[in-house]
Amino acid sequence: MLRTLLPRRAPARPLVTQFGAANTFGPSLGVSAGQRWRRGYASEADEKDLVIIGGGVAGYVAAIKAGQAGLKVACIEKRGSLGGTCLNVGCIPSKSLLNNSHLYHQILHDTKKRGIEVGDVQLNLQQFMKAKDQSVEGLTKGVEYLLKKNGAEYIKGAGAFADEHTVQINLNEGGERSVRGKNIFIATGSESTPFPGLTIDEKRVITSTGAIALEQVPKKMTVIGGGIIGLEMASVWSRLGSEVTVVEFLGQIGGPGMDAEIAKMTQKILAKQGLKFKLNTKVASGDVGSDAIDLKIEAAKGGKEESLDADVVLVAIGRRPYTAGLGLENVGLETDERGRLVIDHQYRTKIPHIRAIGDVTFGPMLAHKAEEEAVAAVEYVTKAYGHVNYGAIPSVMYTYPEVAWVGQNEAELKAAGVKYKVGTFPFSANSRAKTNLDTEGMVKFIADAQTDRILGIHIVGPNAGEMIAEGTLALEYGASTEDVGRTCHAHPTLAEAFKEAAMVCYDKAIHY
Amino acid sequence: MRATLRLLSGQRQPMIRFVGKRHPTHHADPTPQTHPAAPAPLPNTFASYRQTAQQHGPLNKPFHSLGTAPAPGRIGAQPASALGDVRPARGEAWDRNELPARFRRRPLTPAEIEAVESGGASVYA
Repeated sequence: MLRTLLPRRAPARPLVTQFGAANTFGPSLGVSAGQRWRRGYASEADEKDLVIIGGGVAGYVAAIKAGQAGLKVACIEKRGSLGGTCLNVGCIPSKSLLNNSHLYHQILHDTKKRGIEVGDVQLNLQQFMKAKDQSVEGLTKGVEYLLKKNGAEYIKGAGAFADEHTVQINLNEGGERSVRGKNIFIATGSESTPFPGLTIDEKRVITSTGAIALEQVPKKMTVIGGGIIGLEMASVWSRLGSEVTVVEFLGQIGGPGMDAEIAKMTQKILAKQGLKFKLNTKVASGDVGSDAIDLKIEAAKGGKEESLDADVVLVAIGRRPYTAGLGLENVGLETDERGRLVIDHQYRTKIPHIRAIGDVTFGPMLAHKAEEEAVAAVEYVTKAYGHVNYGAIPSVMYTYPEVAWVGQNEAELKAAGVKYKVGTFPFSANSRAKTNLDTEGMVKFIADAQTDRILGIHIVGPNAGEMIAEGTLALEYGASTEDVGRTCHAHPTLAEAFKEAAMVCYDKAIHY
Repeated sequence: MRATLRLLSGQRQPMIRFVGKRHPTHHADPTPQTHPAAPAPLPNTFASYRQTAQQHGPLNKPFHSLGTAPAPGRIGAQPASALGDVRPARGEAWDRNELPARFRRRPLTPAEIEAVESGGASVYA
C-alpha cells in the first residue's frame, strides 16, 4: 500500500559516456531490475550513437568507420543507392566513359603508327553506357555490403531534423520513421550550380549528371566552365565525335589550384585533340530553340557580343552545398554566404554533437577529402583526436593526358612572398613514355629555396593521377626534393620522370 | 680539404622523419578552433578581432587617430576619462532629462494615457 505512495523513480541506469556525449534522451522502453516497465512514449524513435544524413562518400565512409569502432550507427540516404554523387553520377561513371572513349579514340586515331591495322570501328553508345552502369552498380552494391558487414544500418529515405537529436525520415518505400542519435553527421554533399537564364532539363541543357547519360553523340556541344568537370566531359564527347567548345570566364583552364604553366600546356594538348577554347569569355545569355541552343558570349571584361550555337550545352560552373529539405531551421543551424555549413576544426557545428563533413562544408569538393574528413570526424567522436592535412590534398583531372597536382602553385607562392625554386622534367625524355609513344607533358616540382622542402608538385602527362600519390606522401612527410631524388625508382617507369624532376630541383637531371 | 669538409658535415640527413605509431592525444584541446579550410580564419581572441573589426571605421582606433577631425560629441571622439566624473558633485543632483536620451523617461503613448485614466478599462474595451 505504502509502495504506491512512493514517488515513481526511473530505475538507475548508467549514462553512456563512452563517446563523450551523455545520453540526454527521454525515457525509453526497457525492463528495469525490478521487472517493471519504465514509462515510455508509444512511438519512441530508435536510439543510435551516430546518425549520418547522406550516404555519399563522406556518409558511407563515416558509417563504416563508426561501425568498425563499435558504434551503433544509421546512415540515411534518399537516392536509393549509396555512394552519392561520386559513385552514382560523378567520378565513377565519368571515369568509365573517359577510359572507354579514350580507347575508342585511340583505336581510331593512334594505331597505325604502332603497327596495328584496324578494320571498321563502330561506336555502340548503348553498350558504352551499359558498361558504365555496370561499374556503378557493382560499386554501389559493394558499399551496401560493406555497411552491412560493419553493422551500420542503411535507411533508404530523406532525413530532416525534427530536433537536435531526432531525424525524421520520409522512407522511400512510403511511411515515416524517426531515428535519434547522440551524434549526428550532416553529409548531404553538393549539387551542380545552375546557370542563371538556362533551365536544366538534363537532355539538351545538362549538368554533369546529364553529360554521363546522353542518348546520342551531339554534333555540337558547348561547355560553360573550363574546370575539371567541364574538361573531362568535353574530352569524352569530343572523342566520340562531337565538336566541343569550352567557354571559360577566367584566363586559364583547370580551375583554381592548377599551376598556370601546367594549365597552358594542358590547353595546348587538348586543343590538338580537337577541343576549342574561349577563355576570358562570359556567357551573357542563352536561348533554347527547338533545333539548337544559342548562347550569346562576350569578353569577360566586356566587348563585342558573339553567338555560339550548340545541340547540347553543359553547365559546369561549379557545385554548391546541398542542404535543401534538411530542416536546418528546426535546429537553428545556418549556412554561410555560399551555402556551406559553418564548422570548427573538429567538424562541429554550433550544436556540438552535430557535425558536418564533405562537400556540404568548407574545403575543396573532392571525394577523397570527404573520405578523410569522415574518418577524422568519427575519430573525434570516439577518440577525441582526428587528422586531415588540408595542405596535402591532391587534385586530379582525368583527361588525356591526366593532370594532377598537390600543394601550392607558383602564383600562390608568389602572392605569399615565399622564395622558391622549380625543377621540371618532360616525359619526352622518359624511357617508358618513349616506348609507349606517349610523351606529352611534364613533371614540375616547386620547393623552398632555402630548405629544399617540397611545396608543390604539378604533373601533366600519362599516369599523372597515380603518380601524384608519391608526391602527396612526400608533402605529407615534409620531404625535400633531394629525399625524392635520392630514392630509387624502378626502370623503365614513368615514375622516373618524377624522380628526375626532383633531381632538377636540387641538382641536375641525368637524362635531360 | 674537401674530404675534411665532408667529414665535418657528416652524412646527408633526410628531411623525412619517422613519426612512429600515432596515439590519440588525451590532452587534446576540445575548445572550438577555426576550421583549417574555412575561408577567412576567425580570430582566436577578442583582442585580435578588434584589430581588424570595422564599425563606422576601424574598431581598434579612436576617431581622432584616423586623421579626420573629431566631431564634438561624437562617440569615441574623446576617451571616457576626459568626459568627467560619472557622478554628480557633492550637494548637486542631475535632472533625469539632462541624461542622454536613452536614460530618459519614455513619453507615454495616447493608448497608455487612456489606459491610466480609465483605470485599465480601456485595455479591455
